[in-house]
Amino acid sequence: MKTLDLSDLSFLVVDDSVYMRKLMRTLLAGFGVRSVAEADSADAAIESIRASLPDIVLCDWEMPKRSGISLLDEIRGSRQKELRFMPVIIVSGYSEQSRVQTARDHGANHYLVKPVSAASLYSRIARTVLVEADFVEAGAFFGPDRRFRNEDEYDGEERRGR
Amino acid sequence: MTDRPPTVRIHRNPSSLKDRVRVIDVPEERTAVYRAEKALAEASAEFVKWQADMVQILAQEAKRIERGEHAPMSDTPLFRAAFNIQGQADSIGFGSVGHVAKLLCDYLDGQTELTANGLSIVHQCVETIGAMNREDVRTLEHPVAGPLVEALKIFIEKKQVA
Repeated sequence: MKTLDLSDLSFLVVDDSVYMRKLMRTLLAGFGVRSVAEADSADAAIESIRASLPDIVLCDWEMPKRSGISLLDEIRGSRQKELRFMPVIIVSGYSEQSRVQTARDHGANHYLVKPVSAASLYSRIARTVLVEADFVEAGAFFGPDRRFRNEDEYDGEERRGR
Repeated sequence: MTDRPPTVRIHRNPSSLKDRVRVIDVPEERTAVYRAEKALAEASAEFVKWQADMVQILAQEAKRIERGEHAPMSDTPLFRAAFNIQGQADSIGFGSVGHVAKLLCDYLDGQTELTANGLSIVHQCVETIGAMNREDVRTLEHPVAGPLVEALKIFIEKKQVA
């Protein structure tokens, strides 16, 4: 079976819940990830991001004081290229479409609904890594181009004539 | 006069993540998802202990609410504790606990203060979560869990109408 070797990538897990951070760390370790940093708030996350430039940020939306969306705004609004294009996956306990839309409107690469499973987390990470969408800047928006297509994902019958 | 649409600029994604991961062919038990699920199962005892701590915090916060220390319910530590349990329980194999925590969150969300009926809903949900955790009731397929949750739903509906 095909699987991704993610051992060379570094992650930052941002969540105010120590349990959730541990859960994420356990899953990432299972994926073979060796480098996982943790932050318990948006402010701590920014410090960690500037210091170590993780490859992917997994960020909880609902945190006291500053939300994950506020952190995402700071990342996408940064003048530093390494931050501005940094992949961010927003994790949330809310599954409403309006929430997903809001996260995308703020430039999230992907949205992951809790409870998190190994399969759901892996699929978001795999898509983040394998589908390198260009970024769009339009007015106040800066984020990954949502018009990307991943034709490899469809494995059903081809019904249209070629 | 019409508003001009914002200028759209496309930025090439500078990501090099794709080059830093390898797709490898492995037996099923070596895939990333399989290994992560195994890691989670191995850490299960630790997570169950943490969940017990969370349930204790939930019960303490419910007591504070009963003493009249309330704020908009979605801002309270009680809501936060229930929300965290909701987000984590299913990931560690306690779908039943997550289900009841969601019932509690759904009820608390939007409440500004709790009436006597509201307090009894909180009390009942917290008791149920505590019992499920204590008795290791993990899924709604458990012979007691399903009927218990159905009874709880009816209880909540009745108390909300009353």
